[in-house]
Amino acid sequence: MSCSEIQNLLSAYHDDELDSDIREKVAKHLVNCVSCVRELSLFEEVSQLAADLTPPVPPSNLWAELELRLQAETSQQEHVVSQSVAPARLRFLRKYSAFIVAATLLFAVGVGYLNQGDNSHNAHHHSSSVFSQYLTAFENDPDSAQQILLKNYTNDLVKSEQAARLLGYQPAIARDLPADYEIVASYVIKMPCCTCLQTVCRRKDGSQIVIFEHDDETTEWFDGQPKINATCGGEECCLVNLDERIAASWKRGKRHITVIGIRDITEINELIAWSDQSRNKI
Amino acid sequence: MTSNNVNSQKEASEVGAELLASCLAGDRRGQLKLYESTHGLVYRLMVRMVGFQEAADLTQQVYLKLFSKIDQFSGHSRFETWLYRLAMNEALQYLRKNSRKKTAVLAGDPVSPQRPEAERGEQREILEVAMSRIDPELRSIFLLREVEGMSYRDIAEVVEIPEGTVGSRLNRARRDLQNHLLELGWRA
Ligand SMILES: [Zn+2]
Repeated sequence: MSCSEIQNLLSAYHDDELDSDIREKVAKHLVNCVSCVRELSLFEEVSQLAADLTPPVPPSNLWAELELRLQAETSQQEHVVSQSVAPARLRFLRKYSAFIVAATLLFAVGVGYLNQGDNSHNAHHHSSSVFSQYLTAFENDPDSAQQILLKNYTNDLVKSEQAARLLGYQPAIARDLPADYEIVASYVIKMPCCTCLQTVCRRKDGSQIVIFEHDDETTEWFDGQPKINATCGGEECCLVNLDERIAASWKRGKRHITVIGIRDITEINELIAWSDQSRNKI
Repeated sequence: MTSNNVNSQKEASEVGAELLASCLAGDRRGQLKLYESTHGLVYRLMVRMVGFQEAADLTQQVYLKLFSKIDQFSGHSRFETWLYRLAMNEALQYLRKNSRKKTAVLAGDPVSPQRPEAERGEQREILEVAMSRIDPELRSIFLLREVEGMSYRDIAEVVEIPEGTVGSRLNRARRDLQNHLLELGWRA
């Protein structure tokens, strides 16, 4: 074979894509041909460079943005008339992007945790703390979860006017409620860390979401759970992935808001927006 | 084989029929799972095809298309081949529409051709720059081979050319790359 014929086959030779008989012919030629060998060695060097390339790391908010685009598409299909949905969501995205990043990380952490669950020794993760039991029970049955809390801690069923007096501050929940939620009951609960206000809310579809307002460091509440801490608007946020739901905690002034049973990123956004609003009114 | 190749093959085996079915049903958790297991490869492909600035947006576009067209995935080819084709088409279409734009491959400073003394780390960057200068279709084939570790048969399926022409295109891609590398101060 001539040099030009060999050189036409050189990539296929280099990539080991030739049939064995042709491969042998090329190999034979290479034994005696300096210029074809040189060409091949250049291919090898370029391959080496390519093997050393570092894969770029995708930005962590990629999924969160994508999810908003997916939601915008769905809502455009569902309500062709209301064109304002997508831009509104995008404004949300910009305003709360840090938190969205956190939520995205949460999913990553959650998935990783589940994957590990089968073969690693996680027994020590099952903290015996009452709040851990509460979180675990909440996934299946919010009502029996509530009984765990009420059985273990001194509590008072209160009306929102009473709450402020018992707590010594005006809680966010007393001023207004996130849209679409209805208060089922509010309790002032004496926990080991602090006295907090717990408000059990119901969505229109009957599902529960529970809002705590409290004075202490949030991370202790989630001990024993796979959780992440992320910075949100300069403040530390803590997230836990429950089975189908999310538990999230963030700072509101000197106190913390912890919400159990959040559905998705959009709902976290709405809740943070709500707590920011009620904070601004103080 | 590079570690990238190993990863991409590992990712490949994780996309099962059950997951595809849940995506087909529009299930968001299924979509997230599929995204988690594949977005690394789509993103790295996009960074090299269109540059850092557009990579995130185009990666999202790929998934928007993927989820809306997932019912068209026939199952005749491997899912990953289909995904690569979707991603490559998106990238090439973008480059055709924006043919005047240069692909900005590096997040940081561009490599200056006036600096012949390139260290090993910089040699890698030089390859990124050289790749951005060759014809996009040749670049796509080079990436599928060298970064994604694909066989000629799979490459042919992704870029929809006869298998017999993959080798000759790779010859061209590698020679063009060498020329650009030498211009950039590469010392082979
Ligand atoms: Zn020769």
